[in-house]
Amino acid sequence: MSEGTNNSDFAADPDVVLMLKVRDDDASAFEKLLKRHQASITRLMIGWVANQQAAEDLAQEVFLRVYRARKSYQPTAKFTTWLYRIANNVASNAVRDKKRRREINLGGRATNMSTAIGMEQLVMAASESLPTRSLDKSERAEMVQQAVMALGDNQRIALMLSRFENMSYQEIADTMDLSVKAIKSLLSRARGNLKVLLEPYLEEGTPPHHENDYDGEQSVEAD
Amino acid sequence: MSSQPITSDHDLELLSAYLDNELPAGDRADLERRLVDDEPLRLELKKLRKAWDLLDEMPDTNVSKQFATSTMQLIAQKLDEEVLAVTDSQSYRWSGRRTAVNFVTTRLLSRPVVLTALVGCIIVGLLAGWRTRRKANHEQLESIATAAVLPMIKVFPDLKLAQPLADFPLLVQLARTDIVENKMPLPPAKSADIPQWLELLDPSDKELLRIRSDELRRLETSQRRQFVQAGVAILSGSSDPELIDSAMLMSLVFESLDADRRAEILQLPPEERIGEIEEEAYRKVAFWYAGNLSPLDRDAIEEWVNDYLLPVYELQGRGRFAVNAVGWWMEQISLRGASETNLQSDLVELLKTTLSSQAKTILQGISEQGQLFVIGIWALHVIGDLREPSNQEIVDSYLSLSDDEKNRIDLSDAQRAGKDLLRGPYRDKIRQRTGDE
Repeated sequence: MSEGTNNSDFAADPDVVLMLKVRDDDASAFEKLLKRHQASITRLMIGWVANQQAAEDLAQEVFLRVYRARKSYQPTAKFTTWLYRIANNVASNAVRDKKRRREINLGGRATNMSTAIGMEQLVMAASESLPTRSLDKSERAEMVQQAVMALGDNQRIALMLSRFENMSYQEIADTMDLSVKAIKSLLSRARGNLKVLLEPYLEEGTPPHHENDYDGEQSVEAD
Repeated sequence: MSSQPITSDHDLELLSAYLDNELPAGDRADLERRLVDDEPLRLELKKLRKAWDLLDEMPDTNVSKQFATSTMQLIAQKLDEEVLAVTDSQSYRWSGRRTAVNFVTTRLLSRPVVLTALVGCIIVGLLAGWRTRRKANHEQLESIATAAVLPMIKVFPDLKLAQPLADFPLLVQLARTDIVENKMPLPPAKSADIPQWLELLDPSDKELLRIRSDELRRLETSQRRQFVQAGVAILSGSSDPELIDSAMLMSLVFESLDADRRAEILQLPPEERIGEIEEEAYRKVAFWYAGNLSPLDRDAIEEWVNDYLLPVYELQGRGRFAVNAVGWWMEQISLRGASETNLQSDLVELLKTTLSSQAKTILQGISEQGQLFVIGIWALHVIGDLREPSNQEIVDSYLSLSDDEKNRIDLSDAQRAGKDLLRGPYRDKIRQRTGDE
């Protein structure tokens, strides 16, 4: 959590205002919060389960927990930090339970085996089967989805929060209850892994590489 | 192409932070100077950026149109189930009573105990029931989630903590929030595995446990009772993983306390004086309010139900309080005499046809319990500033009355009603149940 924060720091956060109303049992405020965040939470969950229906089920569980925890809510951080913490917990518990069941079926393999296998397979696919034709949009989407799913849980969640929720390192650190340094490391490893997994596709559909492309890089980052 | 890393971890972190615009100005300038001359590094940066840009290809998130509606319905259904689980139970409506009685009876049925333990359990059960009887309604309703799991109680012999914790409640929210917000590893299913689990905890988690211990020490006695009781309920057989998580954490918190602190919780130092003042304040303030409220006519009540109560009922928790207020008003009407009987029956009929089964169940429950004192205060606040008062506010409102106002309170009515409460069927049932054992 950032230092030097107090409740008043977040009083202007419209989500906090709504959540305080929810704490006082205002159901219409809860519905507004729900609608504001349903897409982002569902997208976050897709990053965990890669299935729309399962993601929506988990998202419902997140909002149910938010509602149940309303009486203990304190605006000591951005609302989204609190919300995504709950979401991470719901998702990681669900995935962990699934892994446990899978481990039992496999006779007790190592905990991260499934992720490791996914990563190996994808790397092999990336290095041995270069695309022989242009992928259509849905295929590319699936390929990227698989690459993201192959990342470790923490790398993936940091990636999702950074890329799709536009969170700063500090905000991600608060959400994941990790240090900024750890987030920096997680995101760099996530990037490195993504690059390896997606390398065969990096040039596809992109402009040819120019030596002065670095200038363009700067302009993008300056945005 | 190559899948081998060509940059060091340090450079990868630099490039990543650069792309995220999270590099300090000095580091950024240094890196940009390096990029001008270092082509491999520049290519690596380009690949990292393109890989990141490919994330835009991920499938769009199209939440189903019914998501918000179905989620709201799901939540309403869960709450409804919780309320019905409580009100459907036959004799032991309140959590404190049921916990005490269920534990006493379940244990007695499952294992032989010495006579002293029997006597102790009976006394604890009676005391818990009696004390809970005096507990404010809003506290009781707040523990509905806990009470809902009580019917599932069964002794879980592996959890040694269930033994000393058996007759008291717990503040579920504390632990649940910790688990949810701090992403602790799931506690083990068996208490024997707790030491091993503790080794898995981060130092920050251990520190949190220590903080929680301190907080627990500072909790008010009534909160401590809730804390332990709900812990027992959950420890004893709930199949809800979230509740089990909470209970396990709370049991750890409890275990982490020193012997004196545990004894302090389990012995529950008497608060008779506080309890008496509070109860008296409830009675007096409620009757004072009752005497000052002008009677509502039939149209006004009907209008209030239609225009105010029903919309408010949609607000779930707040709606419960509104329904309670109507229940209180009905009680008041019945106390005022036969002249308004028709008004009461008409109102009952109106409620029967317009309220949900959940609301009706609550209404019936309140009528049975006859706890009109507290409900009277609710009514005032629901009608007035839409806020549920705390116990302290109730006491303060009594203390703020002038002597003249205090003198106008009909204490004989209050005392009679109070005795009726204590003389209700509950005590007989407890006696009968424990006598049967």
